Amino acid sequence: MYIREAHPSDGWRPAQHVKIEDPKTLGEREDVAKGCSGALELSMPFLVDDMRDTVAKAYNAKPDRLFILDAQSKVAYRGDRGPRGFKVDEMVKSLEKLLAASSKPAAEHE
Amino acid sequence: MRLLLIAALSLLLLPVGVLADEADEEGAAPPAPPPAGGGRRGGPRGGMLERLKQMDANGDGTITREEFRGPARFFDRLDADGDGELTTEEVERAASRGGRSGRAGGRSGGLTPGALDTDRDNKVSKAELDAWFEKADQNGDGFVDAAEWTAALSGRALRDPAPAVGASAPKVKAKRLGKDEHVDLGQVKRITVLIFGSHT
Repeated sequence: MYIREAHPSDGWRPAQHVKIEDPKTLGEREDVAKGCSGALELSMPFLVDDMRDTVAKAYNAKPDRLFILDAQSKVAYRGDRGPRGFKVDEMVKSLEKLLAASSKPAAEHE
Repeated sequence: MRLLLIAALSLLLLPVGVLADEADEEGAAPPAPPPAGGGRRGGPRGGMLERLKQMDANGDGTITREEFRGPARFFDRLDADGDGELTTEEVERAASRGGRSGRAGGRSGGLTPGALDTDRDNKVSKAELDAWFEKADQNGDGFVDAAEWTAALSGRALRDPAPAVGASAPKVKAKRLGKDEHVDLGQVKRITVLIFGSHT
């Protein structure tokens, strides 16, 4: 789930590893998301938030965060806000438990 | 009794003339009137210091419990190191905190010199300020954003509006990258991991 840049080059605290200006349009954000997907060689589906940050706000997800939804669209796991709360191991353990309790395959969206 | 109650409440808010009222209530000779421009609440700190100086019966620069003319609980609030004596430094520190104890809380959220000075050396070090920042930066991203700032100053836990475990996923849509379609996250039919983030 690609959301607003956490450390844009035109922001308060620019990232050091990459320089990306805060996208001003959905098209710009999609271009940045494509670049990110390519740079990280990710094959999982990418979703892109709109310029009102609708999804990020609904999930209070800035700058990064992990959730798991079950097959009934209920929240099965809610990580704390990142970076401190961005705990992949913790999420994986929840996912394993959920999968063990269900026969349906998991889908990943980013 | 009314005067005593008013004096007790005023002492919590940096009194200047209230200690004089206390002395009057207890029948002792009233101290000198406050400096020009002083008042019962919010007046110059010099007024409070003047009052205390006048209580220092033996002139040794400190006010003992016996010399203090006010409720015992207020003496305890001012006596930061708990040694049974009030020094000029303790009174000045209390004055900068508005007469309250050094504990963090209230509307200042611990962002006062008295509350930040955790080692009680009358100075706020960078380490002490960093410790406050670390606590206020609840998500650890190196910023205290507006919500964290408000939470820190109010002393309340940061409200998290994210859907709780067991709640229905918000009915929000997001565009699928590279495709002309949207996914309704409130209608997923498979176990779905949402990884929120950006390139930076």
